[in-house]
Amino acid sequence: MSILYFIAIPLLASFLTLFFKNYLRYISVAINAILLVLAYFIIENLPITENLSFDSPLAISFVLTKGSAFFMTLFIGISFLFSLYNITQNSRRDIFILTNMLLIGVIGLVLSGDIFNIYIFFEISSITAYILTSLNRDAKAYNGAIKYMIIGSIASIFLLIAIITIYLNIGTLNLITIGERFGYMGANTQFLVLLSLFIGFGIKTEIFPLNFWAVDIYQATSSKINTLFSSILSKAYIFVFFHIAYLWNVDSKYLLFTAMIGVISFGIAEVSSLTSKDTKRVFAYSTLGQLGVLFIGFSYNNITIMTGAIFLVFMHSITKLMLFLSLDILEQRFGQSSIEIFKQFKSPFLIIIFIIGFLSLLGLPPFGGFIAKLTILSGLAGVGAYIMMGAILVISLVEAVYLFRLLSYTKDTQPKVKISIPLLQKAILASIAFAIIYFGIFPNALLDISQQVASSIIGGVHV
Amino acid sequence: MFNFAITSLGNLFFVLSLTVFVSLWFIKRDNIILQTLLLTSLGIIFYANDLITLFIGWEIMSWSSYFIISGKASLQTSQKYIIFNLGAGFALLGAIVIIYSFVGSFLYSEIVFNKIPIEFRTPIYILLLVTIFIKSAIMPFHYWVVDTYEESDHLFSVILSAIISKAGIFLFIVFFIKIIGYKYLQSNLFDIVAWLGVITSIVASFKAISQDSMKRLLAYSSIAQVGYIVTILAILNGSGLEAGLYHTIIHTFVKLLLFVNIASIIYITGKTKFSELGGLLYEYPALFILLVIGIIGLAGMPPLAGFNSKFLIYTTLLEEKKALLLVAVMFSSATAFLYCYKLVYGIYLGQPTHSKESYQKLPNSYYIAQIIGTLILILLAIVPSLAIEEFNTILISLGFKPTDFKSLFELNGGFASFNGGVIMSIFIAIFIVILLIAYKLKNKTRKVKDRLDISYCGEIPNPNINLHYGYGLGKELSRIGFIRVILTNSSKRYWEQIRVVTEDSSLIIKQFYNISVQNIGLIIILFFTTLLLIGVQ
Amino acid sequence: MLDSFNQTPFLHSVITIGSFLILLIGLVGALSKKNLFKIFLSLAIAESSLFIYFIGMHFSIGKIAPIVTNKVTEFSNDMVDPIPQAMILTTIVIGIAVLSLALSFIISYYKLTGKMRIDDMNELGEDK
Repeated sequence: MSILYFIAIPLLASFLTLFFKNYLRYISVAINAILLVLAYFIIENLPITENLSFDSPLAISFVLTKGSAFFMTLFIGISFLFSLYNITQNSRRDIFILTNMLLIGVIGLVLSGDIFNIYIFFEISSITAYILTSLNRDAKAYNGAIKYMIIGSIASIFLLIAIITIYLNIGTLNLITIGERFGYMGANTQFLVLLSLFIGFGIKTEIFPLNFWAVDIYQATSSKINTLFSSILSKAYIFVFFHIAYLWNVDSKYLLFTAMIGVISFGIAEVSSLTSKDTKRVFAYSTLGQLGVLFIGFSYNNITIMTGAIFLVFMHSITKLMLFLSLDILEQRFGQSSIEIFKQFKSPFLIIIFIIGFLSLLGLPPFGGFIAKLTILSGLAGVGAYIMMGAILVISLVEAVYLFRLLSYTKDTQPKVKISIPLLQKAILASIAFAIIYFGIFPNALLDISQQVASSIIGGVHV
Repeated sequence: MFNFAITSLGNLFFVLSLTVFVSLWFIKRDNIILQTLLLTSLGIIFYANDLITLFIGWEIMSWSSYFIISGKASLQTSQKYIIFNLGAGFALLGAIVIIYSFVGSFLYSEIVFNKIPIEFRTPIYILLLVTIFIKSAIMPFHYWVVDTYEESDHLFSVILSAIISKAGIFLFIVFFIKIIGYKYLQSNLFDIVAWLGVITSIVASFKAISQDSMKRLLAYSSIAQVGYIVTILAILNGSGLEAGLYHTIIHTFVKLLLFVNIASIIYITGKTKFSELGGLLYEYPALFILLVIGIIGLAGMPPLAGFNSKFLIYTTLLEEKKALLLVAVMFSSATAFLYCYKLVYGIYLGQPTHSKESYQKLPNSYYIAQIIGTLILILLAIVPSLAIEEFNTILISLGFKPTDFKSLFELNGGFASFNGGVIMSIFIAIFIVILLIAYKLKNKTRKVKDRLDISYCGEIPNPNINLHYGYGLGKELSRIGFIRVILTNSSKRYWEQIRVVTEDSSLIIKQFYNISVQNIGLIIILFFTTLLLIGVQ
Repeated sequence: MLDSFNQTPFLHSVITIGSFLILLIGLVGALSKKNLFKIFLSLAIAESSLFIYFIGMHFSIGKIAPIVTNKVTEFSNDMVDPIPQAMILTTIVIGIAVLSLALSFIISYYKLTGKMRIDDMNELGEDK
């Protein structure tokens, strides 16, 4: 039982899809289910390191720690729900191959133990993301894909600059060895490496001065694809970025910088969302805001705050999955995505789903988002970052304005279009909503897991 | 994660809420799920033993009442409601989290306040006071109240006024009295709180007089009454707590009575403004009598129970030698007479200005709530210390000396007392005497058949002239200087400015996300080079 | 005089300055050209500057290629480090893939809308 199965099985399945053109949707569900079962069995023996060919520091290594395992399971789970959702839709066939490849890219990112492998999987997931953006094959989609590619190439250039500088000065690519020798580089070189890494990953994690492209991309694709971007892709990049940062024991000023960037990103995203007129853009701004909060959460070297951040990763991923899938139903029915469609649909089930999703995004009890926010805020007060805590509360109030406005639109008295949703999709949305309420009322199991993940990330050396 | 404890304080508030909810459910049961959720959240708040449970109940109360309100109210009003109430909730969360970071536990019993360093205490108090002010509609945080009361469902306004306004009061008692304890609170801050409370009630009373809509008048009246409670609680001693609790009970039942009465009138006539109503006394004498009883309770006059709480407020203020506050409270009570009078005159007396064909028949269930309110007012008038008995358990549990009273009929205010039974019997005796005299003289009276059989500045009026000055009551008040200042200035400008500034800045900042790809790339490169030049030494 | 050009530090400085210039050309081209093809071409140029820098900085005068032949029968310290060469090969392949994907997007976009310039692309944005 090797952790390479997680990359090999979906890759093999992608190649074999040539032969099973009509059963793609079921194969997709099956592959994700197999991976989930594998993940369940492998969790007992953490941490695991797989070296290919020789031993480190010269070999290519894949490492499974508690942190990587959590994120990997989360991504496989979301992909499973997504492929289950797609069984009844008549989507294009490419979506199955592409979600598979995206999963490979993301699992590889999370599992890889040396920095060039990270670059490879970074590129794999980026390319898949570019193609996913253009899936609709209309002008908007190609527009978005081209713009995404330009910005993504700039990100790769910066990541490559970082890798080149590291190898020239340290001479190895293995993450742990780099971490041991990182402090012996000159201060200027360290600064250049960290800055390039920040820019390279920051562009893909959609953080403040580097995220002006993100909202257009969310608008360009259909809401279903936005699920993958918002729930899987950005979380993977955040994890890798901070995992590297803690593994290399970076300067605390760097983490302070990322916290500041996080709170500015949160503020600017939420304020911009107030006057936006397109639902996909509104949800995109909300995602950017929550990624800012995650940046804040990951930037403090404190178990409580990191636990809250991991909890928020889980909660936000499933909430955005639910919200974007519901938005997809509306978008397919109305053909457009302006906020007026919230005034025109009549479906009590969807309204309840939106209510649960929005209240959890805001962090109101009794939903899961509240526990995440409470843990982060208690941790911030515990370390004395009162201004950050106050800023998060005030900006959440701004977030409340537009989310509740969308909810009031559903009570508008225009003539309404009735929407019927197939049973499988209703079941998936309802189970996610139930999970949000369940983890809001009984959070202890998940908090425990989050704490273990948090201590594994902060611990640095592979635990 | 939840921690509950049955306390006498919680019992009091929960029984009040349950009574109001149940008496309304006789009339109409809509939004049943949301109302049950609201009642459950109130139960969670009142029986919480733990700061997190309290906060969970608080927020569920905020959003469940929002969904009930937004069904009927306009978009702006619903937004105002939720933004202010979420602001209150987040301020509460900030205070809770800061307390937790020093004390290490959320349980009420484990919060030892002297673990918190001195420089953090005042910010915690201010955050808690912001929550309480927003919820209890102390000015200038009252901006959300009046529109919400007016535009929501008529029966839900009862719940808003009778129960939800008391959530802030409960929070005051739980935090400042039970958890923190009076010995840590400086009196300077709470002097300001007391004055804010009484200024709110003065301004709200004046604003109530000039309103044309019945529900807005009662909304301002609610603000004024809760202002009294905040003022008397801010005196920070046992008799203040007792007076505040008594006024809470009285105000709940008075507003239950008044709002359901108004709802009955709206149900019958379909009209909500004083300018369209009048003279309903003859068709609905029962409703008239119920409203008069409510007015007497609202104004705080003997023989009804409204006087009990006013009595306790005045005696507490006198005992604490706060003469200016006492004068201000009395001034506000005197002003309250004017809007009480407007309420009864504008609807039931005066010139009828309506057409009777479109009247609906009132279901009997509307009377249940009003009769409950009336019974409480009469019962507590006769045996005022019945409530004091209940309060004594609360006072003991919070560490104060219980008030002693010689008999249930007597209300003891510290250095003065009165006997409710005696007053009620004297009143009833005089009432019966005058009733008998009037009945005897009935045949010697001449019935005025025609309303227009009067002389009006030397002219005989015709039916088109509006002789009902009940609805115009209050217009002439604006001629008095300081009242005009009160009536014309409102906090609306400042709150609207905040909203406009946020929206304009949103329009500007949004443009960041609207720039072309090459400019985005340029910004990224410039960001990189700037940070590189700054960081490289 | 020409011997002084045959020294490793001089070579490294030439490579550093040269690749920096090419990176600058690439980035400036990417950010200021309006034709979509030229933008991606510039990005490819910028990436290749990094390749030159990386390989060039690992080369020193007097080192030979890391290949075992009939004459060079074993690995020794005279050989250039092979890892960067493997890395850059992989990266070049990735770059080709990305570039061809970009070209196919541009062609499809042109077939749909007939636009080839980046400032004509207006389907996305706040007001749409």
